Amino acid sequence: MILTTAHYDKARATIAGRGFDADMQTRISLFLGAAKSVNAAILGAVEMQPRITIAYPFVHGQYFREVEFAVLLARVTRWSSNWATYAEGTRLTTSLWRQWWQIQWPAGPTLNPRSAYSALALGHALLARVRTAPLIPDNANETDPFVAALRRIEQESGRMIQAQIRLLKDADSPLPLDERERIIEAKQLEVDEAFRRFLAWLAGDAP
Amino acid sequence: MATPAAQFAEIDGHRIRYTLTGDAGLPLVTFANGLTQNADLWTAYGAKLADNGYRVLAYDMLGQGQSTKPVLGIELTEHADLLAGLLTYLQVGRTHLAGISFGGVVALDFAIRHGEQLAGLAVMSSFAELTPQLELLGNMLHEGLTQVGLPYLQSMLYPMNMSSAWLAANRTRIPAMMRSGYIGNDLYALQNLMESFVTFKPLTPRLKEISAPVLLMNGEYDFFTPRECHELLRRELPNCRLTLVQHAYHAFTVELPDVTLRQLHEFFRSVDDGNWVGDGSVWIASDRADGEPHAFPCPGDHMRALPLPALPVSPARAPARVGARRSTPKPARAGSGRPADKRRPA
Repeated sequence: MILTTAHYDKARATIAGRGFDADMQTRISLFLGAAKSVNAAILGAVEMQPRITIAYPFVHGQYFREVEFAVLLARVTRWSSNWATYAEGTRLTTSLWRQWWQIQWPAGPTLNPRSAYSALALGHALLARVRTAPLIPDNANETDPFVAALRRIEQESGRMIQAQIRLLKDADSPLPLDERERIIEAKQLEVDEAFRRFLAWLAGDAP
Repeated sequence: MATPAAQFAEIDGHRIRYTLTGDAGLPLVTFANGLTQNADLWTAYGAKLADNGYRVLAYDMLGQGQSTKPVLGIELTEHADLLAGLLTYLQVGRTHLAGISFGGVVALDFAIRHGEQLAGLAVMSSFAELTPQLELLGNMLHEGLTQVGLPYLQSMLYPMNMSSAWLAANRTRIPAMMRSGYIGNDLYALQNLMESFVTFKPLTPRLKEISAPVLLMNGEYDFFTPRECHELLRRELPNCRLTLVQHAYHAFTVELPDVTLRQLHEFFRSVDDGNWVGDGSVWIASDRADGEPHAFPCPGDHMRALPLPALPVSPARAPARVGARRSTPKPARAGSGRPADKRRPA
C-alpha cells in the first residue's frame, strides 16, 4: 500500500488530541529507535571491516549518529508503564530487524555483493521513509525535549542519507541495474509497509 | 465537477498515477508539473477546463507523488518518453500540453521528439537551456537539498516563487502546505530530478523542429526563469507567442490560477478553431479573469524591468545616450501574421 498524506493526518490528529503522552512517546520511540538501531547495526558491520575507502568517513559518522539518536530517544522519552505497548511495538518493528537478519544469511554483506547492496538499500529506505516530523501537531511544544529530538533526528536523517544515495548510485557493483533497482524497491516497500502499520497504530486503528 | 479518482498505469516498468477529468472524445489537455509538484495541483484547472469542453490529464511524473521514484537516477529524456507511453496507453490521441518550469522542459522535449502526439504547447516559467544564472541557482537549490534537507529547499522555493502579497495572505497556510509537500516528496527523488540536468543537453538547437503552436508564458517578476529564458524560446520557436503575466513570479499557476487558466483556455481554443497566429509577438495577459481583451500587445521593451519604451536598435549595437530621442513603440498587432516586434534578433 502506498503511503499518503491521509496516513499521516490520522496519526497526527490523534496526537493533537491527546498530546505526546507517555504511551504515544513510547510508541514513537520504539519504532524510530528500532529504525535507528537497525541502520546502526548495518553500519556497524562496515566498522569491523579492515578496508578503508572514500566512503568510510561518511559511513563511520553515520554509524555514530544513529547510535547517538537511539540513545537520545531513550533519554528524552517518557516511557509508558503499559506492557502491551512494548509488546505491540516489538511486533511492529520485528519486520525491520527481520530484514537485516535475512541479509546476514550466508554469505552476508562482507562476501556477497547482493547482500551488501541490500544492506545499503535497507539503510536508505529507513532514512528516506521513516519520517516522524510530519506527525508533530501545530499545538506541540517545540521546546519539549521529545519534540526537539524528533525534529533533530529528522533533519539529520535528511543529510545522512547522502551516503546511501551516493553509494547506491555510484559505487561499483557487479549487480546489473535492473537487479539493483529491484532490491531498492523491495526494501522500500517493506519499510513502507512497516511504517504504515506504525502510523495506523498511532492513529488508534488496528494495524 | 467532482474530483476525479486517481488511477494507476504501468508504463515501461514504472507505476504512474494519473487523473482524467472530463468526457472521453473531447480535446485533451495534459499538464506537466513543476519539480516539487504533483497531479493534484491541477485539480481546479481540470474542473474548469472540463466545464468548457476539454478533457484533462494530470499525472505524477517519475519521481513525484505516488508514481515510481527511481533511486538510481533518471534521464531527463525519460519523462517525455513516459508521457508518450502514457498517452498511448490511454489511447487518447493528440493532446494540448501545458508544462511549468521543470515540466516546461519536459514539454519542450516531448514536442521535439513526439510532436506527432501534440496539438498545442504551453510553456510556462521555463527554459530550453541553462543560462549561467539558472545553472548557478540550480546548483544552490541542489546544495540546499543535499546539505541541509528537503524542508530547507521548500523554504527557499516559497519566497522565490511567490509574491509578497501571496505569502502574506497565505502565511498561516504555508506550514500545512510545506508539510503536505514534504510527505508527498522524497528527497532522493527530487535529487534525482535535479541531477538529471547534469547530462542535460540544451534543447535550443532543436526548437525550430517544433511546428506546433506554442504559447510561452512568463511572470512579470520571475527572477528564477527570467525573461531571457523565454526570449530565447521566442526567438527560436517558429510558431509561438510570448505572454507576460502581470504581477506574477515563477509559480503563477498556483498564485494566479484564474488568470493563467484564461490564457491557456484562449490558446487552446484558438488552436482548435484554427485561429492561432504564431507570429512571435509579445503580449501582456489581462490581470482579470473575465472581460475583454484577455491580453493586449506589449507596448514597450519586454526585455526591460524598467518602464522604458523600446529602443529602435539593439542596445548592444548602439548604446543609448542620455537625451537621445527614442521612437514611439508600435504595439504588436493581434492576428497580423507577421512579427510585431521589429527588434526580434536574427
